[in-house]
Amino acid sequence: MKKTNLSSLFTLMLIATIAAVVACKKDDPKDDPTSPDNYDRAVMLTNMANNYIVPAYSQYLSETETLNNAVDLFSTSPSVSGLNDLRDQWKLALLTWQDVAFLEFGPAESISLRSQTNTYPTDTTIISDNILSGSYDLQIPSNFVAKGFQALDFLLHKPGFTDTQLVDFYVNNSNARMYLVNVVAELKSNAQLVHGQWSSSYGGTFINNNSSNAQGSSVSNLLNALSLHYETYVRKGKIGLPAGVFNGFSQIPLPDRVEAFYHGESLPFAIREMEAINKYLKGENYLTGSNGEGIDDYLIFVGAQSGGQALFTATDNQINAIVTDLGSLNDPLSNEVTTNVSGVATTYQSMQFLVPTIKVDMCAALGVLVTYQDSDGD
Amino acid sequence: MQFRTINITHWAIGVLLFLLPFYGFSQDRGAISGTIQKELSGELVPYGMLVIKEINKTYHANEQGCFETERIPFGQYTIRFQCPDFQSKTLQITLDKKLVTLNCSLALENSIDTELDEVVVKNREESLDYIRRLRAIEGVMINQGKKNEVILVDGVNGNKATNSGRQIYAQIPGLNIWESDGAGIQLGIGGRGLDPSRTSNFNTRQNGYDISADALGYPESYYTPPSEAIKEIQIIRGAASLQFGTQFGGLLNFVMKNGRKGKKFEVTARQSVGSFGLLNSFLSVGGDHGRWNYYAFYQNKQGNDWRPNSKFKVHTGAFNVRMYASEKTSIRLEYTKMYYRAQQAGGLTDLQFKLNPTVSFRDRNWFEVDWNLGALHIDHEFNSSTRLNSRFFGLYASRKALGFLDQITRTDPLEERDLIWGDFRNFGNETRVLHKYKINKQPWALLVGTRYYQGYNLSRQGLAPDGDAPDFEYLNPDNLEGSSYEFPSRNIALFAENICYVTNKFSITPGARFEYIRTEAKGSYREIVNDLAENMIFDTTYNDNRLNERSFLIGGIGLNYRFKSAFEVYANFSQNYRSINFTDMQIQNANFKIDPNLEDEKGFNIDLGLKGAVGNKLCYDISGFILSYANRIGTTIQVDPVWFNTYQYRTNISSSRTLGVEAVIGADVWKFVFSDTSDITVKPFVNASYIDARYTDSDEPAFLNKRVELVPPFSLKTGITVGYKSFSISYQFSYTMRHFSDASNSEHQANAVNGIIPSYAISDLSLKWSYKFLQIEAGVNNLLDERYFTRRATGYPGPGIIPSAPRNFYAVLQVQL
Repeated sequence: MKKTNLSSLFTLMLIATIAAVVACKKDDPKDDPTSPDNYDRAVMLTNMANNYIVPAYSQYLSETETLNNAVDLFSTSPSVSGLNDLRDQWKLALLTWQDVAFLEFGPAESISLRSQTNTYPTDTTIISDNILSGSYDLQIPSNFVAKGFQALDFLLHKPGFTDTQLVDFYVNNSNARMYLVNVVAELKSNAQLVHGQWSSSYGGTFINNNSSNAQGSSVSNLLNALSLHYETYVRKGKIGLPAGVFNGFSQIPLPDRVEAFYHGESLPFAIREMEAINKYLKGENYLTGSNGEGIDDYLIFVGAQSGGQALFTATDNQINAIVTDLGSLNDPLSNEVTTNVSGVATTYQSMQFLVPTIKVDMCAALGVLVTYQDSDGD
Repeated sequence: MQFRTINITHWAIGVLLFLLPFYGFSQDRGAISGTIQKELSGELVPYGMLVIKEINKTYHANEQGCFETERIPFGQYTIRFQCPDFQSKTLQITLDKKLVTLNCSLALENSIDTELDEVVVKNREESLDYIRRLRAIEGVMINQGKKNEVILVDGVNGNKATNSGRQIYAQIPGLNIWESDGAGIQLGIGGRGLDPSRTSNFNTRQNGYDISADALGYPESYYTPPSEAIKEIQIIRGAASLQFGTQFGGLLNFVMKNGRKGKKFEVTARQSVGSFGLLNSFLSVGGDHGRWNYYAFYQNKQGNDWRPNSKFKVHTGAFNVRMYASEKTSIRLEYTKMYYRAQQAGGLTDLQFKLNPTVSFRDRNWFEVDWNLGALHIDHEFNSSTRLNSRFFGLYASRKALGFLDQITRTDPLEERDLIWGDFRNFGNETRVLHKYKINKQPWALLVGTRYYQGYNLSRQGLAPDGDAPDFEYLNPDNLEGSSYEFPSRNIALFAENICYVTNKFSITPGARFEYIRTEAKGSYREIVNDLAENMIFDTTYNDNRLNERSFLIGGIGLNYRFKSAFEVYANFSQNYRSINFTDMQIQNANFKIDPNLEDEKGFNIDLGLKGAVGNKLCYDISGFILSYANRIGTTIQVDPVWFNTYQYRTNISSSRTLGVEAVIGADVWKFVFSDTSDITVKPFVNASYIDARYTDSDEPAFLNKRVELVPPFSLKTGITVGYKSFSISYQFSYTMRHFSDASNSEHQANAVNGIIPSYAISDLSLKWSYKFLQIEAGVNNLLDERYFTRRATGYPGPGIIPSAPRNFYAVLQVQL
């Protein structure tokens, strides 16, 4: 009697376990309508790729091509007016770079486009050594600090030179002329490479990589790239480092770490970057500004909130506040960091405020894992 | 003198047989083998003695109660069996063939105890020749009601030179096996959807003592015993936690060979050659003489592996000596050493793997491991119902990883390399007493034990010379660029388990374990802040001290109902824990915080299964399990409410649950259909598992409701061995289904650190043939030359995809005298 009971008990338990295992197979929580997985990511990614990313790269490429023409002209017949044209075009191209700088994933990441394009402070010693020797390989990582826009900043605004003296310098130094040409040509070829990949195969790859927000998915790539860029290259790089925030316990400002130090104007680049980030998040058309499906819509879809208001409203407000704060500072920033310490500190704090909005609130709302590590104790 | 004579005789016979293979078939000699059992219960009696009167020779049964004599002339023999606590017995036997089986049952001397154990272990050595199940009580282990498997390594037909995990663990269901190098230097297996990385989710032991870097804080196994020296591999699933402690995966115990009973001296030499320059030389000596038993081996393995930059050289050696101090007390001393140095070819991206998996993009990464293990076992039998085992053990070891460890998508800048150096010094003692007694005329058994474990780990990270040589040294040993931490730890555990027979078929085995764990981290880490052009602007060193002290109780219960020997149902519930690891206690940079109330990972395993065996013809185990895993430790990002700074925060973030069905069935079809004693064997087997593992709760939204990483939903191993006498050929097919490698369920990532591990199906073919003292093994692994990989590495030996070996061959010649 007892035996039968026990054996049937066991058999029942076994069947129950197997049934539980099989039953639990289908419990995907896709029933929740606001789950990030129920949003049509393809629509958003298509809009962001076709209406922002590709046209922005296209614009950036065109600016580097114009810059390349200007440098060719200057190199064949150096003149003060040619130098000024070159400087103007350099500034335009660097402003346009801010529109694509935060797209460091996919093709850009594969060639470390940001490090190749806009590393600062530039290393004037290496630049001078390269010019002197006339033999260098700009592709090796140790030359990343001696090329790109910031090397051009130094080469086009050499301290202690009047415009005429600088033109004479290039007239008399064919190595220096060659260096200018090579640095610009490389900016252009890198832009070509990345633009080429986006407008051919990678655009489709980006749009189709939409089955989840897991690591390596397009949503994860773009948010991680944006968060890393904003945190490290905008907040820290453009304001925090020169302001001395990262300078250990002393917090003494480091004026020579500003962007475009020799040009003496840094704030327009920071403002342009903040505006570009907002445009990108809103899914706006790069050229026309007309609104399309963007991260803002995705955040609204999942109902993301922050401090009693919609998360994207908070983000938008904060970006605008940062732009206002940046606008209240004066160039040269290298001067401002020592003369208007409290103004710069307020702006930095305003920028800091946006870090958790992107890195924690947005990523959490969309179920994106932050895959980079910020190791600086700040 | 006699020792020498026998030895020479052996050699003479050997040489003669070798020279005259066709005539050397000695028709007029044979051996007697069998078992010594307890009368009525059939429990095998270890270490019994038998004397063959006619030739005045003495032989001993091994610890399993099995014996085998050397070959003696045909004829009539009178054999006397004797054993402490048993009445001796004399049997007659006619020896007229090569091998005659003789099983002897002895009655207990003390008639009061005669009925003890009658039912506890009515379990003869019922198994196929490559797998068995643990008996209810084995030594000082209680296994009643627990899911377990034992691999009999000599019966495995596979590539032992490369420790081929796929072949050796073919009978173990639900394992995910990582192949990190072509030579099987490191074992990476995980059961029930647990991470296979260096087998760190098993409580890994050799002869019952810990062999991982630190049992609690750093449970990675850098040392894996060479398969050629292993007698059997015991695996007890989740329910092992009560007797063995940490880990959800259960116990993995390598039981090493010892001197063969009845042989004073035996030498085994094996030489293996394989593809890609694999050379593996193995030499062992062992014997048993009077009170002494000894075994020692040395293995030298080297090769180039199949990708560039992956040459390796491994030395492994060990000895164990056992002495019976008295009839009731034995002492065993063991020492194991392993040293290896291997170059690491690095990982690949998905695209690189697709284009050409034979390439390598890292040519200056190295790994070096030095492992020293010592142990002293004391076994004492107070009387036939109470025995004690106490083992003292210690580890003195180091592991060093040198190289450029950045993502595989980055070009090696050829600058200084990182050197990560771990030193491990720990020792402990585990003492168990097993007592059998009777309640209501039913035989019960109680096991109580204690464990003391003290560890010390020094972990350092800094820069090492540039260049590509294996220079395992720091540039600035006194001011490391990374960190330097020491982790003193202490653990005391008390445990008890009791088999209670409610009826003579139904048993309940409750158990409990108390743990006290003290983990400390003392050290410093360097913070270097750079500007965007990597110019250093700030450099300081922080000191960090952390202590985590806790104690807790876990419990469990096992049920077993035995219908008959061929059909047994078991069920168990056991709580499990996985201790906070050292890396969990270590701050890596200034932007990192650790939850001051960090807890061990906790959960439970539930098993419910059927198992049984029919003689040496069929062996099966079908079960379902639930593994609940809470308090998983992980990192989230938190925000400082005042400054809005973000920082990494390590705390208990997730819970997961894993459900599965596992089945393994092996049979000798020929014996079923034709005859039990046929020389022909046809043994198919099937091993399948279906596992579903999900995160049920997580503070990290990216993990919510995702599948647990590294869990193939379905895996299958099946094969067949066909043998005739001492020749056998085996074919094995292994299939592992596509699965994720990270908790966010990434499908693809540019740096290849995370992403899908695609399904793979591998075929292996092996042959074995033995003739007298010679044995030849040969085979092909990955017969169909499948391009696959089993793992993606986040750090060493990658990062990136670690491709598995293409088709490769091996051949072994073994001489045993």
